[in-house]
Amino acid sequence: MPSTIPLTQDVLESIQRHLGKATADMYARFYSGKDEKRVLASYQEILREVVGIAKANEEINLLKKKHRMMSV
Amino acid sequence: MKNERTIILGGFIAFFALTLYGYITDVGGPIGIPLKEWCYVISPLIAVIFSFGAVRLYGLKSTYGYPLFFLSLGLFCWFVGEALWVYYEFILAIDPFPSVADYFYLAAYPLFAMAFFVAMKKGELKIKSFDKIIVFLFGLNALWLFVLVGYFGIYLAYDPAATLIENAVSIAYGVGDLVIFLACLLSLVLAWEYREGRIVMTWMYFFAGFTLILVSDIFFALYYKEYELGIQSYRITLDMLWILGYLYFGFGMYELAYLIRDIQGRALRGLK
Repeated sequence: MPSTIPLTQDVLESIQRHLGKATADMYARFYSGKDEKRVLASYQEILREVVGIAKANEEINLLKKKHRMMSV
Repeated sequence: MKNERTIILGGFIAFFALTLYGYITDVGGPIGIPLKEWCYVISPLIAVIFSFGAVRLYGLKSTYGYPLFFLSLGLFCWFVGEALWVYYEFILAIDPFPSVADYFYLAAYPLFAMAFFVAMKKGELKIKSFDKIIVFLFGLNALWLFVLVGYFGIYLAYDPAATLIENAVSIAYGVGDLVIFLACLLSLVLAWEYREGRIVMTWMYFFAGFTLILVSDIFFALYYKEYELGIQSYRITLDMLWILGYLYFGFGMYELAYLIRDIQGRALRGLK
């Protein structure tokens, strides 16, 4: 079953894990009103820069799988 | 922001140059304490300030929040230990070994162990995903280095002429060095894990910091008498290695804070 948690919520949790709560709060404001595609694109860019492409792709693929989206 | 980074890096280099000047010229400083001793105490303080700054920005609920907090507490213990050491030596004019300063130095080791234990657990590192040959070679090198650190830090630290408490403290330092050795390895593993990302620099700086501290601790155990006699070459080399180690920790923490603020800046620019 696809996740019932909105994708943005999961993205923000991941941002909090990697870059702290203050950063996640800022991005919560930044992402508000934005569609999931834009949120995911922004999140991918940040994560790849911070933890590296391979590690980021692992996490992004898991997220996409959870929300039943196409893999990277 | 790039200018700020350059200024901070310049500040670290300038401080190191000032410290080197203090050691070479042996000039005096405020309240009768030589400049070199001031620099020796200020260097862990720099690491502590940047550490708690990074922890404040990063928060405790993030993957490496608690590890960084424990690391910062450990650095704080080292700062208190160094300050007490200088206080005993220059204000009270008594031999600081063994003293309360040693207890603060030693208190840092379990905190570092805790930091890396939590980091490995929360970082969800999959050792199985590493190449088996790399794991084998890494393990083999780790084993002989572990024996080497144990031999120099624990076995050679025992002095039959010293008191029980002196020997206990010396051996505790040896055990502590094994923790530092593990911290070196684990920071290298974490650096490898994030090798493609910007966060790798923080782990590389920590690796450099732990390595410098470990090397100087081993040399201190080997050349304790020469160091205590104040032979300039031993004193300068060992102290500079310790100081450089602290500065690496400080800059590693700054790098992390810089990365977070850089990413935060993008969201803020998007909001304007």
